[in-house]
Amino acid sequence: MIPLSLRYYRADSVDEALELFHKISHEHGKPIFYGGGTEILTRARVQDIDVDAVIDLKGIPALKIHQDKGGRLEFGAALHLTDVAEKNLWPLLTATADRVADHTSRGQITLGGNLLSILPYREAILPFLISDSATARVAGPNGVRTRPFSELFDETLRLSPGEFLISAGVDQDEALGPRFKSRKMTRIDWIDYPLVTVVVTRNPRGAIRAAFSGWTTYPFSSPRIDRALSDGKRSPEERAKEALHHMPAPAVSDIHGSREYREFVTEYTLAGMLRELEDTP
Amino acid sequence: MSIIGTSVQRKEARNKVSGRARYTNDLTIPGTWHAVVVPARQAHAHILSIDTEKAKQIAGVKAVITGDDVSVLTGDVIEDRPPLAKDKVRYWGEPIALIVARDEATAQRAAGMITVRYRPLPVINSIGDGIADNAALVHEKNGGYKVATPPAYPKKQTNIADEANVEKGDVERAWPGSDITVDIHVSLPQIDHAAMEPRVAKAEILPDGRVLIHCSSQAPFEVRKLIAKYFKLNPGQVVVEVPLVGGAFGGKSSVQLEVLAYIASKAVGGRVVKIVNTRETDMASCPGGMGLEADISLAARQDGHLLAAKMRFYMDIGAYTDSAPRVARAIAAQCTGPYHIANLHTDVFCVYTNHTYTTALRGFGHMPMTFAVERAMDELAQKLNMDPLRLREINALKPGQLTPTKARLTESNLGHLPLTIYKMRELIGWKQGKVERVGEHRVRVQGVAAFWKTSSSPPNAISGAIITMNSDGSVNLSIGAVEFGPATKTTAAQILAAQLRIPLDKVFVHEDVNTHVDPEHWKTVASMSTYMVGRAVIDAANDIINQLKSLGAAVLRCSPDDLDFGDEKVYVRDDPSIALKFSQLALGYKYKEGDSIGGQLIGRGRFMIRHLNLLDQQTGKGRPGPAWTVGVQAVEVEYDQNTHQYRILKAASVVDAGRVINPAAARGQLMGGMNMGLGVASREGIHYGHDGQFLNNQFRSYRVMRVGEQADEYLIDFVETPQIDAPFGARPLGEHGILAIGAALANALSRAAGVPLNTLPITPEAIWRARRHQS
Repeated sequence: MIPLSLRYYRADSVDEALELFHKISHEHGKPIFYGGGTEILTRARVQDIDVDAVIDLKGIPALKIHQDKGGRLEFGAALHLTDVAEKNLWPLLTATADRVADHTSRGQITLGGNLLSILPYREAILPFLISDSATARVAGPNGVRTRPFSELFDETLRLSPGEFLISAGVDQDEALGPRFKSRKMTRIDWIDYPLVTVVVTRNPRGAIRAAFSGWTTYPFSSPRIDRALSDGKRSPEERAKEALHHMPAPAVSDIHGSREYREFVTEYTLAGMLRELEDTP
Repeated sequence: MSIIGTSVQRKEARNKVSGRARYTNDLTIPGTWHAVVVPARQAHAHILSIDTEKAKQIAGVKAVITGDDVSVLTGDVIEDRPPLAKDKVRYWGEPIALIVARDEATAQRAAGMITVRYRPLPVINSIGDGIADNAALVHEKNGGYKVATPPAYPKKQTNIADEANVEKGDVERAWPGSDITVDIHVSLPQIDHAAMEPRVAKAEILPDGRVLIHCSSQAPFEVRKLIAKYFKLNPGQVVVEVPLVGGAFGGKSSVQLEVLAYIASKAVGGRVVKIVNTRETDMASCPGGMGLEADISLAARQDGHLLAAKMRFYMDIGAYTDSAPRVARAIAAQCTGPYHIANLHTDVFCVYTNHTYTTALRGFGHMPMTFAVERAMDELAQKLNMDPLRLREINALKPGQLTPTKARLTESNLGHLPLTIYKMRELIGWKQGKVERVGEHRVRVQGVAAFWKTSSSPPNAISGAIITMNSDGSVNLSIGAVEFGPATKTTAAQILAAQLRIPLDKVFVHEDVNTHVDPEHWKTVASMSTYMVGRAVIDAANDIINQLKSLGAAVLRCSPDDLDFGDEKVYVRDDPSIALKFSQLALGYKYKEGDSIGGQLIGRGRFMIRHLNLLDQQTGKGRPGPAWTVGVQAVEVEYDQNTHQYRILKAASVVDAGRVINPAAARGQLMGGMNMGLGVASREGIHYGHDGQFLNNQFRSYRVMRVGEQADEYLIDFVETPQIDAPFGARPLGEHGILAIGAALANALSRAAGVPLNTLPITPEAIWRARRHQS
């Protein structure tokens, strides 16, 4: 039960959504863009969100784009995580997106909602963080722009009030070229928030890239970590240990696990993934 | 074939699986208003002021009630709990105000408008904090509250709400004669019952003075008794109705929300008011399951025979006592586990903390107690280099021996633990607890633990049954036990069908309980329904059989002694062709000429527990229950020595069930119990922040075992040593699946990891930490 009074709007186009947001804000309303609604619902029922209008974006065709065209993979922000997994255009994205929450929730959660979640995990973002060609199409008061992920991402995708994500894309070559591993490590359960989720890719030349979620309050990747992991002269265990020295922030301690335990889990997980990626031809 | 011992589908199964079964919140009377609890957001603080003005101004808000408006103190044993916090708050989540509004959303919005000014006090955030010298007091008035149901021995100027002791033999003299000793300390967090249906209560006060309560409760008669007592009403004025309950696990044996619903209704002129818990409220504001710390020392001979034991149990009961003194005595009375220990000293303390208060939870203290004792037993087996099942076998209590509280044991009241151990060896493929290597870093190992439990019921617990007969000779059965999952009503129907020798589909059980029409049943707790209700049903069945025979005798012009019955007829013993159908007698017998005799056949039956007594405070001497159920449980795990991840391959139980009445239901109970116990042992636990905040009052953070995470295989077998005074010899087994399975898991993992694991829950991190601590 949501104790808030909410007005519901469904936008049929990007422009209509932008206009609605502008109009409601102008009339001193507190609008929020709405995709799957799982976070709005769970926060609203405990009165942890201050909104009075939702603008549903799921009816906008551009947000449902889901294609492999002209060497680019495009994923609309309103795709459900189960859609992404079922079509499986980008197996690495499937691997991360398909481990969020449980199947029932993934049928509700949208890709955009996960990428822009207020929770620290946002695991579907990890593949984009280690893809140089990743871009985001963002709609805002100044129109629609396509920008590199790297420009927009600083701990989270930095969207301004009134902006929303239309879709995210990546070059097919970059996405499908490298071999990859993805592991979600939890306290004990299959379905839980991650202690750490690790994504590792290895291109044919042996260069390693890695991205992490759950370690700290935001997902991240780092060239320094990638360099440490790519040093083929050292054993996977040594490289994993070294990588932990280059994390951008200390591991968090919370009810899922302590800082020290996160370090332990991340280290052996990373070492095991490197070994698997490099052992098999 | 007898219906006893036959697997039958529970009576309400089809309604449940089709979504048509009705629970308390499924029916709403038009015009019902909603009440919402405003929870404290401090764990221990003086209340300086509560500003209700803004909330009252919201359109649709009908009343705002705070502790200053309510003068009663409540509590099952010690009356220490105001329904709404007064002067101070003692746990995060404690109800501090109640909002009544025209609908739930309005009440929730208004709840967010209440502002409370607190002056924080030092938080008693653990048992250690509670028993420290000069600890802040959770209750300044401890020792001054009314003890409503003795015994309870609170210690003034401390946080000890009660203590229970057991003394047997002479520990100090026996100790030096031992060859080997073990000492362990165990620590278990508070847990939640996690019933699928959160608690809900509705109350209305009619102009004629009657109070109608609808609630999701295991104890409708207790609700009636306490509401009448707290608000000075005649018990007959209070009518409590309980439909099907969506899981309870002891958490609904406590009376809390019903009192709040009554207060809310009273504040708005008696109108129907409903309180429906959110999951968050159900966990943080309503009672959970206790935490425990215990020190266990065992002394034994080289051959494994136990000589003496010293035990201290400290229960984290939270901020109010509720049923804790009863649980403490249950722990004291069964503290040895099912083993004979001639010399024993045990102290059990109920420690007040600034945690959510606690109540009964499946097993009534026996699960945490068993964990402590069975961990100690396994450490002893390892020290002795002895087969852990063998150690348990040679120490098993036998008929003729005395329990810790010196109750005499017989084959009937004890059952046969060695036989369950014998069967377990086969069931799980016992490998003596040896660690078996199955991969580079992977090992498999089995762990075992045994249990016993009795009812710890009050010595005057009662039950009743009323049978009315329908025109076709079928019967309606009315009992006071509620149905919350274990097929209580179906078992009662099976017993009645067997006793009347009629098909089960000729027995219709009243599904709801209504205190106005159903006979009183103590509480649906302690796995006692089959025993108590069953005895009352047999008594009522015999009553109706006598009526059938006596009316039949008049019609057939013979003595009732000449008659026997079966196949829905009474017939002359030596010439069964002279017979009357039950249907001819059910509503009286009508002669050919039209004149009639008899009337509706109505059977009444009752039962009262006998020969129990309260435990003596000094020596602990006393008889805590009519009989025990014993059993042994085992777990097989596969453990990764590098990552400390593990998988539960097998979970097994062999229980002396006395007589299995409904095999499918019995297996279901044990399987569910094992799964719950494994969940508790592997992942459950309430997290309190440094300031006493309840951190995980949602299922996204309070982890219970989910589908796919359960053991690969559940194995169940029974031994049947009849309990002579029980219906068809059946022993209680509703709670028992949970009792020792967590200890069995800990024993297996302790062997696998090579380090004692004495703290729950046993997550991979806990194993990693224990191993790091050791090295």
